[in-house]
Amino acid sequence: MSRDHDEPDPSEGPGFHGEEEVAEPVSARQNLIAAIVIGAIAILAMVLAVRLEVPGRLVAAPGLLPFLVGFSLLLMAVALGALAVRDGGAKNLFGGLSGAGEWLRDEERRRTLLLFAIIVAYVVVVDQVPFEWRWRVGTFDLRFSGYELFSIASLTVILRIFWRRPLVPHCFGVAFVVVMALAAVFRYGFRTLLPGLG
Amino acid sequence: MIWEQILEQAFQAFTPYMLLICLLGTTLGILWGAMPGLSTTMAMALLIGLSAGMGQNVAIMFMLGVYTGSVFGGAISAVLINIPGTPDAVPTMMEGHPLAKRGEGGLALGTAIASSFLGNWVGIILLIAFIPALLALALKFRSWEMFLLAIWGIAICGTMSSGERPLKGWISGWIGLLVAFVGLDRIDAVPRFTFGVWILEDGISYIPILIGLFGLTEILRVLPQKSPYAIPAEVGRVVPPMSTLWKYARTSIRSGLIGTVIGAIPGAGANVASFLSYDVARRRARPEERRKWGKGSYEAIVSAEVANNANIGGSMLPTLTLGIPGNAAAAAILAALEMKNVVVGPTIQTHNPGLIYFIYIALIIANFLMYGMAIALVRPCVKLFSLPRTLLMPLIIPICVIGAFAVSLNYFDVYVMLAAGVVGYVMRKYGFPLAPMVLAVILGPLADENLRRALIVFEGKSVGYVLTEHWIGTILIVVVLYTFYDGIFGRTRGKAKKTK
Repeated sequence: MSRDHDEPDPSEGPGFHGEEEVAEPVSARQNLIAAIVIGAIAILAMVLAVRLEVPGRLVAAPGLLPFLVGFSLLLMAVALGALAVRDGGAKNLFGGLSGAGEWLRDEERRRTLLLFAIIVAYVVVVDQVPFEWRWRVGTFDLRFSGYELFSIASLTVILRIFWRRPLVPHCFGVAFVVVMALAAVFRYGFRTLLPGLG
Repeated sequence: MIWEQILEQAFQAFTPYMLLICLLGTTLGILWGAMPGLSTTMAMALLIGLSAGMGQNVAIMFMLGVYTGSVFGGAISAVLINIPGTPDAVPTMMEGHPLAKRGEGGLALGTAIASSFLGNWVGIILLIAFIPALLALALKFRSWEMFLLAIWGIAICGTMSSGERPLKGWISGWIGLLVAFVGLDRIDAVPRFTFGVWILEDGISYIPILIGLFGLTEILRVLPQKSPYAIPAEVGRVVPPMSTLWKYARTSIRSGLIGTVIGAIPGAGANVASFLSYDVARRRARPEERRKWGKGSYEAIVSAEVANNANIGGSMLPTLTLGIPGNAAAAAILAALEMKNVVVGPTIQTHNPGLIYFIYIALIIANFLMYGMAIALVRPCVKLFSLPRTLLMPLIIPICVIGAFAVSLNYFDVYVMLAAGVVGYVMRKYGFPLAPMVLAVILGPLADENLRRALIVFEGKSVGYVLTEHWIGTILIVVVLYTFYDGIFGRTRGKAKKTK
C-alpha cells in the first residue's frame, strides 16, 4: 500500500486556528486598546493584593498568588501592547473616541445594544418585582410567577424585533408556549424554585 | 469486588427510567448540537440547571447523554445546510455539504453517524484502559504538583484555543484566575477583591460564568446578525454500506487515538481533535483520495467525526482522575458532579466507590442510543432547520436565566451570568478565546490553596531538595515552561515559515 507523505500545500485547505476559527478579524488598534485595559486591571489587582492583610506567614499570604497573577498579566498586557504598536495600532488610537456616533451608525451594533438593554431590563424586573399567583385545581397547585410573566413579555418584544414577524400574537404565542413549557419542566418535573418567587 | 461494583452499577444503569433519561439527554443533545450556533458547551452549560433537580446517577446519565448527542449533532446541520452546528463539525461541513449538493447528503450523514459511534467506542475503551494507571499516578500528586498542573492546564488551554496568538489565550486564563480569587480565601478567610460587598464574600460560582460566556455571549453575537439560509428538500440514503466503513478502518483507528489524546489535554476540545485528525488524515491519504479533499471525501468525514467523538472519552480522563476538565463541556460535567457532592480527582474511587463504572456504562448506553436516535432524527432535523436563528436564539434567554438561578437558587448568580455574557461578548469581539477563562475560574481556588500549602512545606528547604524530592513537579515545571516557550517562539517560527 503506497502512501504519499508529502506536506500538502497550505492553500489546499484549512488548518486549525483555535477556538476562534470563525471569529471576526481583530485590528492592531483593538489589540492596543485591549492591552491598555488589561494592563489597568493587572495593576489594580496587584495593588489590591498588596493591601490584603497577612494573618500568618508571608509565604502563605492570601495576596501572594493574586499579586503574581496580576504581575504576569501586566507583562502579558505589555507584550500584547508592544505587538499592537509594532503592527501600527498606535496610529489614530484616540480617533475612535470622537466617532461614537459613527460607531452607532452600524445597524448590527445598534441591534446588539437594543438586545442587551432588553435583556438587562428583563433580568432586573424579574428580580425587583417578585410575585406569585396560585390556583388550586383539584389536588394540583397551579402557579404563575414573575418569571413567567416577564419572560413572556420580554421574549415577545425580542421576537417582534429580531424574528421580524409582523404580528405580535405570533410572537406572543411562541413566547407563551416556550416559557410555560420551560417553567413546567423545572417547577413540576424537577421540583426546583424559579426566579421571581416561583 | 470490582465485578460486584460493576454489576451493581449496571443494575442501576439498565433500568427503564435511566434508559429513558439517557434517551432524553441524547435526543436533546443531538437536536441542540444540530442547531447552528448552539455548541456542545452551551448545551451542557444550560442543562446543568435542569440536572440540578435530578438524583446523582440520573444527572450523570442525562449529562453524558447530552454530551454524546451534541458532539455528533453538529454534523447534521454541517452536512445538510452548510452551517456547522458545533465548531468541531467544520471539517464535516467542508466535506459533507458538497456530497449533499450531489444528492449524497444522507450517505454523508450516515457515515458521520457510524464514525461517531466508532469514535465513541475508541474513547470509551481508552478511558477504561488508562484510568487505573492515571489514578495511580494522580495519587502521587501533592500540593506543589497540583498547583503546577492547574497552571499548566490553563496555559495549554490558552495555547490550544487561541490559534496563532497564544498570548490572548493566556490573558483570558489569567483574567479567569483573578475572578476565581474573589471571595473569602480558603485558608485564612481573608476577603479578597470583594470591595466591601458582602455577597461577593461567598466567591463567584463558575456555573453562571459558564452559562454567560457560552450562552448569553452567543446570543448577543449571533442574534443581531442577518444570515438566512436555505433547506435542502432531499436527504437520500442514510445508513452507509459496511464496505465504506471497512475501507477507512485505518483512518478510524488513527483518528480515534488522536481524538482521545487531544481530549485528555485540558482545554483542547473536540474542535482541536477534529481539525488535527482531518489534517493528519489528509497528509496520510492516498493521492486519489486526497484529490477529493474539500470537494466531498468520505474519508475526511470519518477522520473528523471519529476524532471529535473519541474526544469525549479522552476529556473524561483528566476530569475524573485529576479534577481538571479536559474541555469546557467536561467542565459542565464536573459542575454537575460537584452539585451532587461528588468529589472528583485521585480519590474518586475511595469517596464514590463504583461511580467510575457507572460513568463507563452510561457512556456505552449513550453511545448506542446516540446511534439509534441519530438515524431516526436525520429527517425530522431537516424540518427543524426551517426554524430561523432569529427565532431560536431568543428562546435560549429564559433558559440562561433559569439555568444560572437553579444552581444555588440565588438571583445574584443571574447577574453574574449577565456580566459574564457581556464580558464574553467584548472578549470575542477583541479576539480572546473564552475556554481558558472558564477553566481558570474552576482551577483558580485549587491553584491558590495548593501553592500556599506547598510554600509552607518548602519553607527552609533548598531548591535542590524541592526539584529532586518532587520529581513529578520538576517534570511539570519543564512542561509549563515548554508550553510558554512553544507558544511564544514555536508560533513565531511557524508564522515565519508560512511567510517564506
